[in-house]
Amino acid sequence: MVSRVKRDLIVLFVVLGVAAVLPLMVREIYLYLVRLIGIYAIMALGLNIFMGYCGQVNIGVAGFFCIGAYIPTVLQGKLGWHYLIAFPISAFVSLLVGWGMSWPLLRLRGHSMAIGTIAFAMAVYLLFERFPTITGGSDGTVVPAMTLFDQTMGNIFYYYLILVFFAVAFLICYFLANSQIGLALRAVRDNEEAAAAMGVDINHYKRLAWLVNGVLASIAGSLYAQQAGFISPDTFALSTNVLVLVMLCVGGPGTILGPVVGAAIMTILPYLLVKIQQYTLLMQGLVLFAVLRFLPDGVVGAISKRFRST
Amino acid sequence: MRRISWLITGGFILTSFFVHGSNAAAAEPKPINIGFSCDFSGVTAWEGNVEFPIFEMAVKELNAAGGINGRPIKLHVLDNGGDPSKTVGTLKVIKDANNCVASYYGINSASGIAAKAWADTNNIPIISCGPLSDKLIQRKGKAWFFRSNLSTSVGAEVILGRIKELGYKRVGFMGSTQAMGTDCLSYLQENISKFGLELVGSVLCEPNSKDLTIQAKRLRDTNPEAVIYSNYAADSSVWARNMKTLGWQPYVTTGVGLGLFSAIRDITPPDLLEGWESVAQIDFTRPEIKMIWDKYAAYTGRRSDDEKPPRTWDGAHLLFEAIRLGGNPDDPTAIRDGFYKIKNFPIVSGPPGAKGSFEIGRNYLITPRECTMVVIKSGKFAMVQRKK
Amino acid sequence: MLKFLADFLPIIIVGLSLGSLFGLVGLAFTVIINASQLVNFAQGDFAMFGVAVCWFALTVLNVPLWLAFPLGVIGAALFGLLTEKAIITPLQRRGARPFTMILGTMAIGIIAAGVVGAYTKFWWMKINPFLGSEPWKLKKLPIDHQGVMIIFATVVLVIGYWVFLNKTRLGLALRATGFNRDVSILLGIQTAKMVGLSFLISGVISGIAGILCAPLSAFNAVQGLPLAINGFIAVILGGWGNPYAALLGGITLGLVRALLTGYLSSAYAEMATFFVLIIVLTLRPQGLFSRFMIPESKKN
Repeated sequence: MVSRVKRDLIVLFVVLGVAAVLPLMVREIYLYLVRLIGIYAIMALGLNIFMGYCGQVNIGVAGFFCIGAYIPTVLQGKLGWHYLIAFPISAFVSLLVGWGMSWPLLRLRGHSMAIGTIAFAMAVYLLFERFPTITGGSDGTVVPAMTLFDQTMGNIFYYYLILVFFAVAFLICYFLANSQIGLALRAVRDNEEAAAAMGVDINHYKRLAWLVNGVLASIAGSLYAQQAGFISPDTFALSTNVLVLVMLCVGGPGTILGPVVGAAIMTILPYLLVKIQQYTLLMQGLVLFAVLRFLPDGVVGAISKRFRST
Repeated sequence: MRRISWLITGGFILTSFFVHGSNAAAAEPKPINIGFSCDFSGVTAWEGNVEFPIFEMAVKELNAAGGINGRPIKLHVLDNGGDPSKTVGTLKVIKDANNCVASYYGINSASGIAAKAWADTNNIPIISCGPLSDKLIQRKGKAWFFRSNLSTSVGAEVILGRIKELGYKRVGFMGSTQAMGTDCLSYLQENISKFGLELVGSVLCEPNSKDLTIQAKRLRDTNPEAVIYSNYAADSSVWARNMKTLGWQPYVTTGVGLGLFSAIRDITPPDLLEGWESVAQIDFTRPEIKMIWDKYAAYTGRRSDDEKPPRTWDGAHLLFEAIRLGGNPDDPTAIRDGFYKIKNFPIVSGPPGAKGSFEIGRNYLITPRECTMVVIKSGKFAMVQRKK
Repeated sequence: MLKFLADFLPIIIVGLSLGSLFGLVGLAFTVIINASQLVNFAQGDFAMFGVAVCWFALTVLNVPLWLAFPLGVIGAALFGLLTEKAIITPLQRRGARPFTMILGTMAIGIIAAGVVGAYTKFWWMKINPFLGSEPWKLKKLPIDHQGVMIIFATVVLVIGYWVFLNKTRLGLALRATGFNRDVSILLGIQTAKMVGLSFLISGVISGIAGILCAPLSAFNAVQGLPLAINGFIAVILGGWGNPYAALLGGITLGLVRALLTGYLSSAYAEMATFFVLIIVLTLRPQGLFSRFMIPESKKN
């Protein structure tokens, strides 16, 4: 009898295998979409750990996204460091910032945490916008192309890089969710007082989930900046926070696949509806509304429920 | 159960790839693929939504007349939401998915800088009809990014000439902290003495400021006779309001062009803007301008009285001419070189009989020679008669 | 002295007007919080929708201002009611987590922004100052009458709300619903209707605030959520659940921002807002004015 974990891993590798050979089969636009889905999926996976499994509120995920995008860009542009060195540095900086912000933010409950995380994201965004000499300010800045062995890396390279990080992020979240830690996180989500009474260190687990959220968002940011070639603060404004939140809700918070499916749906939808561009915002709102009203566990959650009975 | 969810996810992702089928090969002449990336949503959406109908109309007219060398132009339209990163994304899609050989890109200067950087590395010519930033000027070598409007420094040069003509000496400046303001301020600081004028004070204001009374007071205290402003519509409107509250009514002018000027006029009560002047690139007396406005109204049901339709019209036709002169509509480099081959091309911008061209070191169409000035009287635009 | 006043007065009036906007939105938040412990992230979009309806009446239907204003307020109120019916009641019936309901209100807000944005193409909705553009002159001191109207309306609204809450039976029922929902049901109060009423009132307040402030700084479709965030910050700064404290919080916020914007820069003003929020949340989470106007017997 193949264990459940082994079975899931086999399926994961099949999917990754298909994705790996995709560049040989389909046109560039689809690869571009897959790159975007990969990036947003990494962010949504991190958010899922904090919101879906640990039950907290984070509407400020773009703060770490912003840090992860700008720091490698500035280090490459101003100091000439290589991307592969700057990348881990930005993840580390996000870790530190996350750790520092966990003290004031994680004590809050519900709405206060919502507004606190929004405030954090807006403060980060403003900080990067208002120092034009370093970050290019509101006009944005070109992201220096990365070179490896004297060759400028192109879209295909970033495609595989994103795929690799997506796989790593997914595996981390999968094993985290199915471990003792995941159990503790869900205990915190379901009933904090009871969990505390059972000896679970609430603050420790909240902080862990918050840091996972922050670092994954930061990694997504670094990947995004490099493959886009150009970043500006607009990308990290309020709407991005809401977008990732919608992705998580649509996909299914608290499930492993939810964030991935949600990221896929919300990224592809604007491209399917190309003819009616100005309705993108309305469409996002309607999708979120429909999911909350009719599919409270998200797409993946609803499908799982269906199959649970079989 | 879980495995089924996996397969559904995989299936979902894969199926969505096959939603977009491939184009069926037809027996008609092969179209020339042109990309159109514009802000249909986002902060500058009001401009994008004007430019697209004009461009589309120009393409339709061209195709009805047989296209270029018998080949029709096919437009591939994408929304970039005014976001520079998304802009680069749309340009990539336009190039890779649709094999476009040239692109039109929208209005936003920040996105323009991103688009230019992309064009330079990917060697696809782009024409744009709105961004103002001086950073888009290619001073050395051939450009890949062209504009059918003016640049900030061109506008600044014209208004300094106008201020001098009116006899004022002391000039104050209000600008955005973004490029629109800082570019103009640097130009003024470097060049104002050449006009015999003096820059007595300047304030830079962050975007979306709800109130600028204190900044206005600070500028007023430096006692300028003329005020130049270079800012977006909302902030300029707030500024106008605050000046009124302070009871301060100097001569006010701007180089941001008629597109933004009409935006300010749309959102501000007319008596706040009485007598304000602006650089423009069109002459209302020319019949071509009225024709384009009428065509726009017939096509979209909306009226326009500013330069967005004419300059987009020029941009579209310059692109067509570049493709024609380039000799090879399937080669982006030939099209780019075609831009530089354009000489004495009749344009609807500028004074009657104006001719347009590009040169190495000048990748924008409108020079001070083609500029006009417009004044607001009782909420309506009127041409300013300049002493030549 | 007169020169000092001439310099300072416009700043004070602007600060108070902006602050009143935030404070009124905070008040509207608190109305809903008082009735149902819910946070409504579509609050800013209520105001935006009211402005949209008023603007539509003014510019497209050519209706005079004295008719367009109430139309806008009614529009905002109906939108509030719609929010309650469309998302709150169904979710509550299902027993959803409070955060899901916050998300639900956010969804409604995004839909409103999307609809208004699609119609206006995300352009600004201009509303002219009610009394024209010339400021009043008080001994050569220019006074911005729109700002004065906002301040006056704020005072009237707050007094009106206080009277409603404390001197009418309906207000009593509303307070009871917020205080203890189950006991209120036992007492025969129709709590579902009370929640709907709270959304209606909050829509009215937001609509009035939005339309009054629109001449000062034009609204466009996407300014709902940022306004809601600022209003919510006013609530947190002032005091949770205390409507008068929310108002004071908003006014403080507005004044501080006006002063910082003027003398430093608006970047610092915005960043300061967020840092102050984090500090208040950490050191004094119950808010700066939480005891304001709450009589002894009601402190809990």
